[in-house]
Amino acid sequence: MRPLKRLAKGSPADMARCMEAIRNLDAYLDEELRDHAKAERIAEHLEVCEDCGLEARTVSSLKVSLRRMAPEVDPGTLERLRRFAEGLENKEV
Amino acid sequence: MPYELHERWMNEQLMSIKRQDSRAEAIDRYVTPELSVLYRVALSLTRSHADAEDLVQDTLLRAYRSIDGFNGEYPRAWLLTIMRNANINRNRRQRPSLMVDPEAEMRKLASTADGSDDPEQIVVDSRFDGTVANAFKALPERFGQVVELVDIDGLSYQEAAAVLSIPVGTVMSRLHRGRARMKGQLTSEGYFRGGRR
Repeated sequence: MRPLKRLAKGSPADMARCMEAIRNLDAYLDEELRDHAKAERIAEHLEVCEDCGLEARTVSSLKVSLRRMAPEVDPGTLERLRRFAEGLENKEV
Repeated sequence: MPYELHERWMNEQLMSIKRQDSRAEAIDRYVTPELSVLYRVALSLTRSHADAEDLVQDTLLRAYRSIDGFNGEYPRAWLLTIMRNANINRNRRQRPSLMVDPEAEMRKLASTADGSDDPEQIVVDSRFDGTVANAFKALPERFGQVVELVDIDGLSYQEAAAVLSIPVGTVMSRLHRGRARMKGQLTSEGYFRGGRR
């Protein structure tokens, strides 16, 4: 991980916001941040900070592209699995 | 049959029916909604549709057997842990070569146009997707596994940790490093502005 001090710019308060956003960006974008107040601060910061906003959009576009690689699950397969699950009670298991 | 014995037999039959009913309800409540995710993760683990279906069935059987002891919390993580163990057993039992299989069969990438995330963020350039796919395939396995489970299969950090049997913190650091490598690749190909990695 690159040193955060080199990434943040502006006043100490701005730098602190940048550092918080970059440190927590993955968890924020993955909706894994449990601290809602922090999530809100980061959301506000990403709106106003050009660099952090760009970083967030970059990771988001990567995530969205990767998500499109998810294999489509054949409805017939799902139906077979659903029937298998429903039939478990009649099996000797 | 003496009355006491008959009564005991009747009670046992009733208990058995109740247990079956509650198991069926639990399967319906906790397992059926996860079938799609289970299949997708099974496909990531096995790289074969037929093997993935077998692995999900194996997972369902094991889940059914142990559902009486399941407390109802985090059903997906519970099921994925069962799947991980089932997959380890399958590999040991049936196809030991898969345990040492390198990256030769890595990541058969089927495309799907799932626009359900955030339409504003979707990059529709197929060349971009192709470059992302190449950057993903180039990842070392330990990073690629986590990126695949979280970004492609849509698992939470906790769920990915359960599948891979590693701490959540390791999932987070591998995910970050995997994404950083991919961003680096995309930046070098002119998609992103250089700077933060």
